[in-house]
Amino acid sequence: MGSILRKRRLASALLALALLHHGATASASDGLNSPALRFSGFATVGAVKGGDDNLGFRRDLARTGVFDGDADWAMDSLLGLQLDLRLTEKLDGAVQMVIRDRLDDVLENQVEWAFLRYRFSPDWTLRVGRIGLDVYALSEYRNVGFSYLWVRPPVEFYAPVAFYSFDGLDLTWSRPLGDGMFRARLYGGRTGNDFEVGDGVTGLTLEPIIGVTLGWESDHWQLRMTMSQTEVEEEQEYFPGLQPLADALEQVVLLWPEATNLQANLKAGGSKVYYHSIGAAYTNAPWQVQAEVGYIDSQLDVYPALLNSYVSIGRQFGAVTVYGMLADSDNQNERIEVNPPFIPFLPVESAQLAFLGQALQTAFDNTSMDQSSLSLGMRWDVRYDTALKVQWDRTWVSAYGSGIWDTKVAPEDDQILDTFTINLNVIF
Amino acid sequence: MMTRTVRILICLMGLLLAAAASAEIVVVVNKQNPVDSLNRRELVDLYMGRTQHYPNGTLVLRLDQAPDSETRTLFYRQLVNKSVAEVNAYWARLLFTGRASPPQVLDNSASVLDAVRKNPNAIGYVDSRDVDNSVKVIGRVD
Repeated sequence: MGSILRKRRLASALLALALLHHGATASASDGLNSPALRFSGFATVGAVKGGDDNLGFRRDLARTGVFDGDADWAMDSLLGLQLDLRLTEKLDGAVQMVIRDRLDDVLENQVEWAFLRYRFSPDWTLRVGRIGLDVYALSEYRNVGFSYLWVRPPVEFYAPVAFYSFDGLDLTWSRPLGDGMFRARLYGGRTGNDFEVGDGVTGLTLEPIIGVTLGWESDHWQLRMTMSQTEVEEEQEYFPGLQPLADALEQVVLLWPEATNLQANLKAGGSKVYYHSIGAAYTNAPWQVQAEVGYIDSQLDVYPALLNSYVSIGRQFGAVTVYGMLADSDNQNERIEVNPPFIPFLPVESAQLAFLGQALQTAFDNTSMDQSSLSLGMRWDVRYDTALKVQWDRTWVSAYGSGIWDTKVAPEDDQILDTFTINLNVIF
Repeated sequence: MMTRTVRILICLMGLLLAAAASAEIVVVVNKQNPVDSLNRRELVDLYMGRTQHYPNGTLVLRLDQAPDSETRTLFYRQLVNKSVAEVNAYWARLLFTGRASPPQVLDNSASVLDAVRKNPNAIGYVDSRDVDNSVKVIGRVD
């Protein structure tokens, strides 16, 4: 029901696009002085077809999956609107709204970012407000389909990080270095998102989040290295949605002594998660190569440590670029096996323990992300502001490693799934 | 005698060919702008948004020609060997992450020259055949 409403809202927002588009081009060519106010935007309209009866394809963890090989229009479609405001030569600000399918579609969540920026000098810049999170190379602009080659950033790499922005501040220092420009960025603040757990939606807040990004960019090369550290806020004792399981475990300790340890495995408050990544992109017509390697070090058993990577090669033929990509996410933790005891003279209680054990096993198995994909696709620059893309992904999901997918029952065997996507991307 | 005529003819033909091939793009700024020349590297840094300032530290106002114009197509092809769509994709990254605003788009060379005359911080590019001495030429892209 909610999903239908969300899709309807998305559709009407996308329809409004044509009108806005007309208005934007008119205002952009008016003034001769640098405009104090600038309006711009981006949009993606497209369909994805994938999933089976058990595993639902999703773009990131904070989404509802697409099952049964159905076609879904809401997964990738979105509309982004941005307003840039220049107050003085040194002070400016910007607001970006993204209207798309989300679990909790309130205005506060639609504001992708909103910040004030102060340029101390050509080298130093400070921003305060809600700012894009650049844990990985495409993190900050993964909504802007027109700006990258594929139909979406590889899920093996980008789905595990379901946080798009943070509330806080960042400081950037940039300097020419060799043939290119060196940039160092330091940031800190808090972030959060909503996740679907069972039939409900629960929020997870990470506070503080701090990080550093080092990058070097030249005509052909983009190199970057990032490190960031987050902590689940102390008040959040258990991972979203796992409180009932933890409570149930507490009540069966007398019958099942191991329950205490398992309960500890569900704890979240105060746990730290570290994100590390290195990435490189090389562009020299007609070739375009890009790769990233990331390591997520986690103290959470329900968000296991992960080594992920991808490499993509594209070749241009006029306005068309054909590409191939390999992506991999490799769970670094041992599978936690839950074995509730069977007590012969307490058959009813034993059955309840078995049920609880099953729920707990599902909670652990559904968070393990172990899979690889091969993708082939094509981007066609129809016009200077419009790109049409198609992509096919074949994904090999390891047994008990389907955490990237919206999982009903963690599969005991390896699975192979195909996903097809077509979308149209515009900027204005 | 004969050879001289031939030589003159060849020279004339050469001039004609040069004129035909001189779809050369020049980069212009306001006459009051203290910047006298920019090399290719500095032009790339400005037009690809890596810096928002002239080498002397003054904030820059970048101007672009219409997205489907031949001048714009040629300018970016010669400067960074990219199509206008590729340059736009690159700029979308900077714009929609809040790092920098892309050049302001004007309709044609006349509008660009007019904006450059009126704004001391403006920088623009025009076909060399359209340029006049009301602005200062600080670079060439060919």
